[in-house]
Amino acid sequence: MITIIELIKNTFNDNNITEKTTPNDVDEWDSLGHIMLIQTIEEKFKISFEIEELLEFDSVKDIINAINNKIT
Amino acid sequence: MELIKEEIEHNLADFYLSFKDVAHVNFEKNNYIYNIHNNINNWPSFVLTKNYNSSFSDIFGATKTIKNLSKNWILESDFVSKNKIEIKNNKLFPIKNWVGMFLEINSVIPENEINEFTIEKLSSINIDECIALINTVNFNKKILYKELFIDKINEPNFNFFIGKYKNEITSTCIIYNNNKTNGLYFVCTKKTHQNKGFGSLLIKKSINYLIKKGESKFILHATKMGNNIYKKIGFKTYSKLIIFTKI
Repeated sequence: MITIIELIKNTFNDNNITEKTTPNDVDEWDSLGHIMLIQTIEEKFKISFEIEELLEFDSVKDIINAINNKIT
Repeated sequence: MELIKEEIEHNLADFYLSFKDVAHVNFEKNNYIYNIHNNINNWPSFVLTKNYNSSFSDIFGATKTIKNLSKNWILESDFVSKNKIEIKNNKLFPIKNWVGMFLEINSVIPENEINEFTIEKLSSINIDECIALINTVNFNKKILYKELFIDKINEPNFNFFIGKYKNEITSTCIIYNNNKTNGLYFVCTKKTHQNKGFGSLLIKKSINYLIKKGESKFILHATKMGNNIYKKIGFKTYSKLIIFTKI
Protein backbone atom coordinates (compact mmCIF):
# COMPACT_ATOMS: atom_id res chain seq x y z
CA MET A 1 0.00 0.00 0.00
CA ILE A 2 1.25 3.47 -0.87
CA THR A 3 2.54 5.44 2.11
CA ILE A 4 1.22 8.88 2.92
CA ILE A 5 4.57 10.47 2.16
CA GLU A 6 4.74 8.73 -1.24
CA LEU A 7 1.26 9.99 -2.00
CA ILE A 8 2.33 13.56 -1.21
CA LYS A 9 5.54 13.12 -3.26
CA ASN A 10 3.48 11.88 -6.21
CA THR A 11 0.93 14.68 -5.88
CA PHE A 12 3.59 17.38 -6.09
CA ASN A 13 6.03 15.39 -8.23
CA ASP A 14 8.79 16.10 -5.70
CA ASN A 15 11.02 13.35 -4.28
CA ASN A 16 12.61 15.65 -1.69
CA ILE A 17 9.51 15.80 0.50
CA THR A 18 10.00 14.59 4.07
CA GLU A 19 7.93 14.73 7.26
CA LYS A 20 9.41 18.13 8.00
CA THR A 21 8.40 19.63 4.66
CA THR A 22 5.97 22.56 4.81
CA PRO A 23 3.89 24.09 2.01
CA ASN A 24 6.42 26.92 1.76
CA ASP A 25 9.12 24.43 0.75
CA VAL A 26 7.30 23.14 -2.34
CA ASP A 27 6.55 25.39 -5.30
CA GLU A 28 3.50 23.37 -6.34
CA TRP A 29 2.05 23.37 -2.82
CA ASP A 30 -0.04 26.52 -3.12
CA SER A 31 -3.70 26.76 -2.17
CA LEU A 32 -4.84 24.85 -5.24
CA GLY A 33 -2.15 22.22 -4.73
CA HIS A 34 -3.30 21.88 -1.13
CA ILE A 35 -6.89 21.33 -2.20
CA MET A 36 -5.79 18.69 -4.70
CA LEU A 37 -3.71 16.95 -2.04
CA ILE A 38 -6.53 16.85 0.52
CA GLN A 39 -9.02 15.57 -2.05
CA THR A 40 -6.56 12.84 -3.07
CA ILE A 41 -5.99 11.86 0.55
CA GLU A 42 -9.71 11.80 1.38
CA GLU A 43 -10.40 9.63 -1.66
CA LYS A 44 -7.45 7.30 -1.17
CA PHE A 45 -7.94 6.70 2.56
CA LYS A 46 -11.74 7.05 2.50
CA ILE A 47 -11.71 9.67 5.23
CA SER A 48 -13.10 13.17 5.58
CA PHE A 49 -11.54 16.15 7.34
CA GLU A 50 -13.38 18.80 9.31
CA ILE A 51 -12.84 22.47 8.37
CA GLU A 52 -10.96 23.10 11.62
CA GLU A 53 -8.66 20.11 11.00
CA LEU A 54 -7.72 21.37 7.55
CA LEU A 55 -6.54 24.64 9.02
CA GLU A 56 -4.10 22.89 11.35
CA PHE A 57 -1.99 21.34 8.57
CA ASP A 58 1.30 23.21 8.67
CA SER A 59 3.58 20.37 7.55
CA VAL A 60 3.64 16.86 6.08
CA LYS A 61 3.95 15.52 9.62
CA ASP A 62 0.66 17.21 10.64
CA ILE A 63 -1.09 15.53 7.71
CA ILE A 64 0.37 12.12 8.52
CA ASN A 65 -0.72 12.43 12.17
CA ALA A 66 -4.24 13.49 11.18
CA ILE A 67 -4.63 10.58 8.75
CA ASN A 68 -3.27 8.07 11.27
CA ASN A 69 -5.70 9.36 13.90
CA LYS A 70 -8.60 8.71 11.53
CA ILE A 71 -7.65 5.30 10.23
CA THR A 72 -6.48 3.68 13.47
CA MET B 1 -17.26 44.56 20.58
CA GLU B 2 -19.27 44.71 17.32
CA LEU B 3 -18.10 48.30 16.81
CA ILE B 4 -14.48 47.30 17.21
CA LYS B 5 -14.96 44.41 14.76
CA GLU B 6 -16.35 46.89 12.24
CA GLU B 7 -13.42 49.26 12.76
CA ILE B 8 -11.00 46.40 12.09
CA GLU B 9 -12.73 45.45 8.84
CA HIS B 10 -13.31 49.04 7.70
CA ASN B 11 -9.61 49.78 7.90
CA LEU B 12 -8.88 46.72 5.76
CA ALA B 13 -11.50 47.75 3.21
CA ASP B 14 -10.19 51.32 3.06
CA PHE B 15 -6.62 50.05 2.72
CA TYR B 16 -7.40 47.97 -0.36
CA LEU B 17 -9.68 50.61 -1.81
CA SER B 18 -6.88 53.15 -1.62
CA PHE B 19 -5.20 51.30 -4.47
CA LYS B 20 -7.05 52.71 -7.45
CA ASP B 21 -8.37 50.31 -10.04
CA VAL B 22 -7.40 47.22 -8.12
CA ALA B 23 -10.22 46.91 -5.65
CA HIS B 24 -13.85 47.62 -5.17
CA VAL B 25 -16.16 47.19 -2.25
CA ASN B 26 -19.83 46.53 -1.85
CA PHE B 27 -22.07 46.81 1.13
CA GLU B 28 -25.22 44.78 0.83
CA LYS B 29 -28.39 44.34 2.86
CA ASN B 30 -27.99 46.90 5.62
CA ASN B 31 -24.31 46.43 6.02
CA TYR B 32 -24.38 42.80 7.07
CA ILE B 33 -22.57 41.63 3.99
CA TYR B 34 -19.32 43.30 3.24
CA ASN B 35 -17.51 42.42 0.08
CA ILE B 36 -14.12 43.45 -1.19
CA HIS B 37 -12.66 42.27 -4.41
CA ASN B 38 -8.99 43.02 -4.76
CA ASN B 39 -6.46 42.10 -7.36
CA ILE B 40 -3.41 43.02 -5.34
CA ASN B 41 -2.71 39.63 -3.87
CA ASN B 42 -5.69 37.64 -5.16
CA TRP B 43 -7.03 37.62 -1.64
CA PRO B 44 -10.28 38.19 -0.74
CA SER B 45 -13.57 38.44 -2.06
CA PHE B 46 -14.44 39.35 1.43
CA VAL B 47 -17.68 38.36 3.01
CA LEU B 48 -18.47 38.94 6.62
CA THR B 49 -21.77 38.20 8.21
CA LYS B 50 -22.72 40.68 10.84
CA ASN B 51 -26.12 39.14 11.24
CA TYR B 52 -25.89 35.49 12.12
CA ASN B 53 -29.56 34.98 11.39
CA SER B 54 -28.86 35.40 7.71
CA SER B 55 -28.64 32.16 5.80
CA PHE B 56 -25.71 30.99 3.75
CA SER B 57 -27.77 31.10 0.57
CA ASP B 58 -28.59 34.77 1.33
CA ILE B 59 -24.90 35.53 1.14
CA PHE B 60 -24.47 33.75 -2.15
CA GLY B 61 -27.64 35.40 -3.45
CA ALA B 62 -26.50 38.89 -2.54
CA THR B 63 -23.02 38.48 -3.91
CA LYS B 64 -24.24 37.16 -7.26
CA THR B 65 -24.87 40.77 -8.14
CA ILE B 66 -21.21 41.64 -7.82
CA LYS B 67 -19.27 41.42 -11.01
CA ASN B 68 -15.89 39.76 -11.20
CA LEU B 69 -16.31 38.01 -7.90
CA SER B 70 -13.10 36.16 -7.22
CA LYS B 71 -13.01 32.62 -5.95
CA ASN B 72 -11.98 33.48 -2.42
CA TRP B 73 -14.35 34.07 0.45
CA ILE B 74 -13.78 35.04 4.04
CA LEU B 75 -16.28 33.97 6.64
CA GLU B 76 -16.36 34.43 10.37
CA SER B 77 -15.63 31.22 12.23
CA ASP B 78 -18.85 31.34 14.32
CA PHE B 79 -20.80 31.50 11.09
CA VAL B 80 -18.75 28.64 9.67
CA SER B 81 -19.51 26.43 12.68
CA LYS B 82 -23.23 26.93 12.14
CA ASN B 83 -23.14 26.36 8.37
CA LYS B 84 -20.68 23.50 7.88
CA ILE B 85 -22.96 21.42 5.69
CA GLU B 86 -23.87 24.28 3.37
CA ILE B 87 -20.23 25.28 3.11
CA LYS B 88 -19.30 21.75 2.11
CA ASN B 89 -22.22 21.51 -0.32
CA ASN B 90 -21.09 24.74 -1.97
CA LYS B 91 -17.59 23.28 -2.38
CA LEU B 92 -15.81 25.88 -0.31
CA PHE B 93 -12.41 24.74 0.90
CA PRO B 94 -10.65 26.41 3.85
CA ILE B 95 -7.13 27.55 3.06
CA LYS B 96 -6.10 29.96 5.77
CA ASN B 97 -7.33 31.54 8.98
CA TRP B 98 -6.84 34.96 10.46
CA VAL B 99 -7.79 36.74 13.63
CA GLY B 100 -8.84 40.39 13.69
CA MET B 101 -6.99 42.18 16.50
CA PHE B 102 -7.26 45.60 18.10
CA LEU B 103 -5.05 47.67 20.38
CA GLU B 104 -5.97 50.97 22.03
CA ILE B 105 -3.01 52.60 23.71
CA ASN B 106 -1.90 56.07 24.75
CA SER B 107 1.60 55.52 26.10
CA VAL B 108 4.54 54.16 24.14
CA ILE B 109 5.27 50.43 24.24
CA PRO B 110 8.56 49.48 25.98
CA GLU B 111 11.19 48.53 23.41
CA ASN B 112 13.84 45.89 23.97
CA GLU B 113 16.72 47.31 21.98
CA ILE B 114 18.79 45.12 19.67
CA ASN B 115 22.27 46.41 18.87
CA GLU B 116 22.65 47.68 15.31
CA PHE B 117 18.89 47.43 14.61
CA THR B 118 17.33 50.61 13.27
CA ILE B 119 14.09 51.58 11.60
CA GLU B 120 13.45 54.09 8.84
CA LYS B 121 10.76 55.05 6.35
CA LEU B 122 10.84 53.36 2.99
CA SER B 123 12.27 55.41 0.14
CA SER B 124 12.23 54.85 -3.60
CA ILE B 125 15.86 53.72 -3.30
CA ASN B 126 15.09 50.49 -1.49
CA ILE B 127 11.55 49.75 -2.64
CA ASP B 128 12.64 46.87 -4.91
CA GLU B 129 14.37 45.14 -2.01
CA CYS B 130 11.32 45.59 0.23
CA ILE B 131 8.81 44.33 -2.31
CA ALA B 132 11.01 41.28 -2.93
CA LEU B 133 11.10 40.61 0.81
CA ILE B 134 7.31 40.85 1.17
CA ASN B 135 6.73 38.65 -1.87
CA THR B 136 9.12 36.00 -0.62
CA VAL B 137 7.96 35.90 2.97
CA ASN B 138 4.25 36.53 2.62
CA PHE B 139 3.27 35.04 -0.66
CA ASN B 140 6.02 32.73 -1.83
CA LYS B 141 5.43 34.15 -5.30
CA LYS B 142 5.91 37.51 -6.96
CA ILE B 143 2.48 39.10 -6.82
CA LEU B 144 3.08 42.52 -5.28
CA TYR B 145 4.48 45.13 -7.57
CA LYS B 146 6.36 48.29 -6.73
CA GLU B 147 4.04 50.30 -9.00
CA LEU B 148 1.32 49.74 -6.42
CA PHE B 149 3.40 51.26 -3.66
CA ILE B 150 5.60 53.83 -5.33
CA ASP B 151 2.90 56.52 -5.13
CA LYS B 152 2.12 55.65 -1.53
CA ILE B 153 5.56 56.34 -0.11
CA ASN B 154 4.88 60.04 0.36
CA GLU B 155 1.14 59.83 1.15
CA PRO B 156 0.52 61.03 4.72
CA ASN B 157 -1.86 58.18 5.61
CA PHE B 158 0.68 55.54 4.55
CA ASN B 159 3.63 54.84 6.81
CA PHE B 160 5.92 52.28 5.27
CA PHE B 161 8.53 51.26 7.84
CA ILE B 162 11.55 49.07 7.29
CA GLY B 163 13.78 47.48 9.93
CA LYS B 164 17.50 47.20 9.30
CA TYR B 165 20.02 45.03 11.09
CA LYS B 166 23.66 45.86 10.37
CA ASN B 167 22.34 48.01 7.54
CA GLU B 168 20.54 45.07 5.87
CA ILE B 169 16.74 45.24 5.46
CA THR B 170 15.29 42.52 7.66
CA SER B 171 11.64 43.41 8.13
CA THR B 172 8.76 45.52 6.81
CA CYS B 173 5.57 46.99 8.24
CA ILE B 174 3.03 49.24 6.52
CA ILE B 175 0.70 51.21 8.76
CA TYR B 176 -2.31 52.68 7.00
CA ASN B 177 -4.46 55.36 8.63
CA ASN B 178 -8.09 55.65 7.49
CA ASN B 179 -8.78 58.60 9.83
CA LYS B 180 -10.23 56.25 12.46
CA THR B 181 -7.73 53.49 13.06
CA ASN B 182 -4.22 52.53 12.02
CA GLY B 183 -3.98 49.18 10.25
CA LEU B 184 -0.80 47.12 10.14
CA TYR B 185 -0.23 45.39 6.80
CA PHE B 186 2.51 43.34 5.16
CA VAL B 187 4.36 42.81 8.41
CA CYS B 188 7.12 40.37 7.59
CA THR B 189 10.66 39.40 8.46
CA LYS B 190 13.28 37.88 6.19
CA LYS B 191 13.35 34.11 6.69
CA THR B 192 17.03 34.13 7.69
CA HIS B 193 16.29 36.65 10.44
CA GLN B 194 13.08 35.21 11.92
CA ASN B 195 12.65 34.32 15.61
CA LYS B 196 15.27 36.86 16.66
CA GLY B 197 12.95 39.67 17.70
CA PHE B 198 13.43 41.86 14.62
CA GLY B 199 9.77 41.72 13.55
CA SER B 200 8.44 42.39 17.03
CA LEU B 201 10.81 45.31 17.57
CA LEU B 202 9.90 46.86 14.21
CA ILE B 203 6.19 46.63 15.08
CA LYS B 204 6.76 48.26 18.48
CA LYS B 205 8.92 51.02 17.05
CA SER B 206 6.46 51.66 14.20
CA ILE B 207 3.48 51.85 16.56
CA ASN B 208 5.42 54.05 18.97
CA TYR B 209 6.30 56.42 16.12
CA LEU B 210 2.57 56.93 15.53
CA ILE B 211 1.65 57.09 19.23
CA LYS B 212 4.08 60.00 19.54
CA LYS B 213 2.12 61.67 16.74
CA GLY B 214 -1.11 61.28 18.71
CA GLU B 215 -2.48 58.01 17.28
CA SER B 216 -3.97 55.49 19.70
CA LYS B 217 -6.01 52.85 17.81
CA PHE B 218 -4.31 50.04 15.94
CA ILE B 219 -5.80 47.05 14.11
CA LEU B 220 -4.46 44.07 12.21
CA HIS B 221 -5.31 40.65 10.85
CA ALA B 222 -2.91 38.07 12.25
CA THR B 223 -2.05 34.63 10.99
CA LYS B 224 -1.47 31.79 13.42
CA MET B 225 2.27 32.44 13.20
CA GLY B 226 2.05 36.10 14.20
CA ASN B 227 -0.75 35.82 16.73
CA ASN B 228 1.43 35.41 19.82
CA ILE B 229 3.74 38.27 18.92
CA TYR B 230 0.79 40.65 18.71
CA LYS B 231 -0.73 39.35 21.95
CA LYS B 232 2.54 40.05 23.77
CA ILE B 233 2.46 43.61 22.45
CA GLY B 234 -1.06 44.02 23.85
CA PHE B 235 -3.40 43.34 20.92
CA LYS B 236 -6.66 41.57 21.74
CA THR B 237 -8.65 39.29 19.43
CA TYR B 238 -12.10 40.48 18.29
CA SER B 239 -12.89 38.25 15.32
CA LYS B 240 -11.89 34.91 13.87
CA LEU B 241 -11.96 34.61 10.11
CA ILE B 242 -11.45 31.75 7.70
CA ILE B 243 -10.52 32.20 4.04
CA PHE B 244 -12.22 29.74 1.73
CA THR B 245 -11.66 29.13 -1.90
CA LYS B 246 -14.35 27.81 -4.20
CA ILE B 247 -13.32 24.53 -5.74
